[in-house]
Amino acid sequence: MLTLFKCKSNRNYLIVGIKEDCYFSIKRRLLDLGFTQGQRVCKVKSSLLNKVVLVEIRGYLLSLKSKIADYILVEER
Amino acid sequence: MKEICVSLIGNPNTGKTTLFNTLTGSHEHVGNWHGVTVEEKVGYLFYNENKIKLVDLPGIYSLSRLSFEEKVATDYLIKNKDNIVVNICDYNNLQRNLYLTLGLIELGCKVLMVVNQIEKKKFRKINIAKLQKKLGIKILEINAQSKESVEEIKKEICNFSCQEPKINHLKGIDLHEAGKSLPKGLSNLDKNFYAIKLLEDDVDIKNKFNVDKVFNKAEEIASARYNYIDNLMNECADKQIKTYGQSKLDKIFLNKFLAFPIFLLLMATVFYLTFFSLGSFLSDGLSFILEKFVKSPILSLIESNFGSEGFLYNFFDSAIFSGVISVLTFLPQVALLFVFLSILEDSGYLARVAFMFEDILSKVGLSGKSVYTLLMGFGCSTSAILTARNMEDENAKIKTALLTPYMSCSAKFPIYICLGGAFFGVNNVFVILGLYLLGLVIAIIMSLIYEKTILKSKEQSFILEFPPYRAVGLKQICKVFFQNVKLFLARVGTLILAMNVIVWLLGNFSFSFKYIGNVEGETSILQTLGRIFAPIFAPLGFGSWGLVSALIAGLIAKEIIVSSIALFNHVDSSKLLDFQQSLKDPASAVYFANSSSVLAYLVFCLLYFPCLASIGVLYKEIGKKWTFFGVLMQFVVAYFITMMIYNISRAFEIFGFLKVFVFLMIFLIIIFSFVFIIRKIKKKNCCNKCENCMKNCLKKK
Repeated sequence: MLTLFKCKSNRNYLIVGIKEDCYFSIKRRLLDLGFTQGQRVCKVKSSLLNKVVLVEIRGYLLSLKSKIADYILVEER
Repeated sequence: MKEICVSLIGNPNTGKTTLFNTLTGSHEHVGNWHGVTVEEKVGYLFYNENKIKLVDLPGIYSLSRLSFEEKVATDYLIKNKDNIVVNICDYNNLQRNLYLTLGLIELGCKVLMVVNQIEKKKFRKINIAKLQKKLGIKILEINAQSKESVEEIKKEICNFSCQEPKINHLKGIDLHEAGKSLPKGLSNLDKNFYAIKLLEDDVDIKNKFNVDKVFNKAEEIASARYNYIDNLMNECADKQIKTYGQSKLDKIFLNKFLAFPIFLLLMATVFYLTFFSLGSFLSDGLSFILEKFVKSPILSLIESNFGSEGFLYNFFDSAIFSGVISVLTFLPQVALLFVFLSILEDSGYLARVAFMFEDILSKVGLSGKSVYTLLMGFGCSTSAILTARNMEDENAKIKTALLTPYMSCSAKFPIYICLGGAFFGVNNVFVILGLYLLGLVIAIIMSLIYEKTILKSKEQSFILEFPPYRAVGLKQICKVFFQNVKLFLARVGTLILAMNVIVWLLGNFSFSFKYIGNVEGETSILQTLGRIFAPIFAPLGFGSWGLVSALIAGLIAKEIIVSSIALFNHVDSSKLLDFQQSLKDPASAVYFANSSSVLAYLVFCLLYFPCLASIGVLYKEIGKKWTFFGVLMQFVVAYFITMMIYNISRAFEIFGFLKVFVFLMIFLIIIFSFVFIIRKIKKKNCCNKCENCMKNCLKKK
């Protein structure tokens, strides 16, 4: 499955869901921040060593650890 | 008079603390960075016979109780249900901010929403009146800095008529099912709130009501809230034209190749301006003025009345003026450093720095967020340690707090200038630069050691919002400058003055309480104490009693080290040249035999115990055990690093550069080859499939 970490930069994707093996607290945090099903999302940038990604969602920018971005399943729209 | 309780809540970085400050007229620290407010603060204000108690709660995204701040805020709101809740939102990021507002409505708070516009430009036009009608709560559009907005808010608070907010956004969700698990006797609002939390599988709430059932509805509820917000925004607002936080500047500042050079350049400029060009110019000027218009007139007054010999003159001359003025002259530099740090923070650049450094710092077990704390450590470790509080992982927080004192704080700078300048001359710039880097490198090494041994950090989410770049106003800069001047003056006027007097008294009286002054052959109290501890420091190259006594005095505040050395030498430390001359003179009480021992002393000053204020804050933040351990560790590290540097530098002096260099290289090569061989041997024991995992291999076999 394609995840927010593995997807291409600067392209729009739709969120499919959050992986089952994600910690519950992290999952809830992601939901609170707006990573809900069907939401448009876009990876803007990865850091130099690919440890962090910068993500645009719901009209604002957010940086996430790559491992966490890897929990977020996306599909091309 | 009526007292109205109001709590102020909002997302991080929405101008909450700014509003708090303008409302109450206080000067809490504000920054363009999430989580500047780490604990609740209380202020009072008055409006038409009404006393308003305002509580500033930490900035949070939701009422999910996942982090420390969220727990603090939610618990406060649940406990103080009668409070009016002022919910501050950012105009340009309203769609995300509304999520918290919905949470507050669910909780049944009396919400007064204020929409603050920080940027000059609006990213979209929002019909506030329509939004107010749809949401069913009162909304004000404000500017957190302006006086009129403040009056408007005050008026609104005092005339607040409570209409019970309705939960409109959870239409498709069955709260009844979860409500059955709740005890009877709860009010309708409470019941709804707890039912929602149960459906979200909130651990604390579940424990509170002894519910084991897993509802698994968190996703549905979050979607419902956001769908409601999307609909609201579609109806009440135009399309958003710009992403919040996005900027063309990031193409340069976060560029793969340019990001780090730009960061280093910026830091170098800050330090150059602070300590050398602008800062030293201001500090020379201040020193001249103090000397000419404060010290000389008063001293000549005393001299004409009491004579220049004797207790009183000596007391004023050395204990009060010399010490205090020498510390005071660094006032412009310290204030400037804080100004630059606050500019970096307010402009929004620090969030980018955290993003850049996450890569490297996660390798040594810190988080990108530690950069903020560590950078603040260059200003003052006491206030920096407090900022570690908003880190998610407890171990990473402890680590960051323990490493902050290794940063060379602004109080140590006078030591480098005064002592280093005497022996290194022009090259002192490089010595100082080296000392700053040394502190940083040792912090990183220590972090790595802690990470591998006792303070392994957990998986961190590193969720950090990117704030937009903001121009920092002159007003804000002046405010920070004068606030720090005030703080510094207060410190000099109380703690440092008192310590100077104490050091002077201890240095001029013997154990039999006899004033000894300049009389030779008598030992003062401090001299005796210094002599007891001096042998410990002999291997480090500075075993003389005066230097050791200065270190002891420096425990209270590092600024005192220079002035107490000047006291022992009976020179005026504000006259830099005289002072530096006395350090070279073997006839004075305190002198350095060679430049290696000066270097060693500087390194030791950089690394040894943090000042008492920092220890106090550490104790409060990370507990007795870790504070004790960290402080002790710091002394041990300081001792051994200083010993190493002293001996290497001494060897350079005696044997010449080349020989020692070759010897060191051979030594390093031997050590590295040892490490390499050991690693090879270890790898042989492992199968090819997995590296460094003996246990797993055994299992597979």
